[in-house]
Amino acid sequence: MAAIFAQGLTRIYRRSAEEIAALFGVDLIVEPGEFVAITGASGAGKTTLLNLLGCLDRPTSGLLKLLGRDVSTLRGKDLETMRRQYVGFVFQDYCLVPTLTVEENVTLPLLFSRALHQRDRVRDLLARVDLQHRSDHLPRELSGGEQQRVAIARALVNNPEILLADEPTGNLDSKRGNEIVALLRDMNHTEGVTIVLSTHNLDLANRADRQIKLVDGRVV
Amino acid sequence: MVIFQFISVVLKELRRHRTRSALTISGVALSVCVLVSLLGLGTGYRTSLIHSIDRLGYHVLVTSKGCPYEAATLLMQGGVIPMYMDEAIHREILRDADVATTTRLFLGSLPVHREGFSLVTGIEDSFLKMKPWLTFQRGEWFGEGATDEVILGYSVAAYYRKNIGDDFPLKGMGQTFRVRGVFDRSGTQDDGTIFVPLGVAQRLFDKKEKLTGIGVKLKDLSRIDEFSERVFEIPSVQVITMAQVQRTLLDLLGTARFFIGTVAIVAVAIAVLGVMNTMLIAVFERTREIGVMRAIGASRGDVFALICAEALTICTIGGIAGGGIAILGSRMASEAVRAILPFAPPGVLVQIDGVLLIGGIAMAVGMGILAGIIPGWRASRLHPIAWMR
Repeated sequence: MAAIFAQGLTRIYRRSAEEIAALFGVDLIVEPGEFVAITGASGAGKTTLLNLLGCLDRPTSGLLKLLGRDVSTLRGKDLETMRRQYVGFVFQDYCLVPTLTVEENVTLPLLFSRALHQRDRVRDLLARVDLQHRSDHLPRELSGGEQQRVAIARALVNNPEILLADEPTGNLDSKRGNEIVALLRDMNHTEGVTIVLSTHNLDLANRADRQIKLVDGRVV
Repeated sequence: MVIFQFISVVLKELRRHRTRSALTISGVALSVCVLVSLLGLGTGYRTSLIHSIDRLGYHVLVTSKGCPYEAATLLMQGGVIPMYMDEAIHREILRDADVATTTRLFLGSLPVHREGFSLVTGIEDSFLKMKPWLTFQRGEWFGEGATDEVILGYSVAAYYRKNIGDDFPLKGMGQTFRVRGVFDRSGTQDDGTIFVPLGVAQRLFDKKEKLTGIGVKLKDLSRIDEFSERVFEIPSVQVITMAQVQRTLLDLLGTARFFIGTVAIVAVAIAVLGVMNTMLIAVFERTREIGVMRAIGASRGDVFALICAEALTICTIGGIAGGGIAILGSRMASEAVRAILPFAPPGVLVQIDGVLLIGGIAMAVGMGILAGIIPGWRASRLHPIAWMR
């Protein structure tokens, strides 16, 4: 069973009378435990594809299965459940809650899934991303690379099967970017989590198991 | 555990915009303070009024005909009643079979020292029989045939620092009086009164054989209507029962409370709208943060609960602060009300008890729920990727 199975995945945005096809007829299979990089220029549809894979958005048409479950027709609470239980998300600009400490940010998904008893997992992950000594710090007190490591720990705290990272190195210099990809690679090996990462940096994409290139919303 | 974590998230969010949160909380506190104080005024005024009327010592007051509001106010607060009745009326009332005791009164105000006017009441021996609780702190009743003696109410003696035997000049009367006695604190208007023998009062005001009122105690209180009807047949005389006084003064309060109540309701409504507005701005500002929370697993219910909890926290803190301010400021509020109302009985007019305080805080919680619903609903409807567009 594929971790991700997409067939004819299409997302069209309607603005007034105008229709914009952000993604058109994408076919995709990602096996469990794979580390896949989605590449393409800005506006190629990478973020749209990750949003669909992450159950943040719904396709206009096409079939999408995550871990064997058809999510293309799911709505409301079912999509929430998928996001909460099976998918972790890492954003380009970290998106940490500025008022919460590092530890509280990582704990947040546990709060939403009513699983605060798994707090050991938070400490374990903070150790894994080498930030246990910064657990009481606020995001503004951390560097960009450190914030992204917190975001990765947050994405993994619920033990998701799939981790989606949208341009996770986009705001970092090459050294920090390499560190983040290395960390994701490490998590992919040790946690067995399937990772789909979007980037326009081919050097980083080359470190993935496989690359999928998007051009104008289509896989090429 | 979950709830504590929730509260922690909410409190940290409120600390993010301290000034905004403080101002919004202040608005709620102010409205709750006004509301609680107003309700406290209703309770305190009624209690003080009933206590004060009970301590008048008589069942009915007979005065010359005039405005009952004025008479009621003058009766309770003192002052010059511009109409007088003849002593003959007292003799006629004494003959009534229902009458147990009477006391003749002559009320007026006179300049005292340089500080202004004080209530001077001419009384006779039966005055103390009507008020057995009015005892002497120092000194004693007027000497036989005395014309230059005063008995001071507790507050007057304390204010002017007068002791037995001290001179007490009544300005403009060309005569200096001597302090014969000082009454104990009674918690009524008597504390602020200067008492002189009835005949002396009549002479001071140049109203020989005239009275401003006759206090009457009946043998049987259930006969009050029959007695009143008989007295009403006497020309130029009206009867004011203590129940009427109470009703009249509570009516006056009721009118004041209606207007203040309207202001309080408007204040509460403005506070609710203020909190709602603050929360809507917060939701707008945090579109991205809310979207990210949805992305990492928050349900619509979680988002709704977070926003509602923020509004609830603001209002609850405001409610507790407002209730506290109302309690701390109740004495000051009492004095302010006393300055505004035409008559205010002695004692603390704004009485805030535990039930009222809890009610005020519960009201604030209700305001929080009300103020959080629309922002919470709007936040919960935000699409997880709305902030990306």
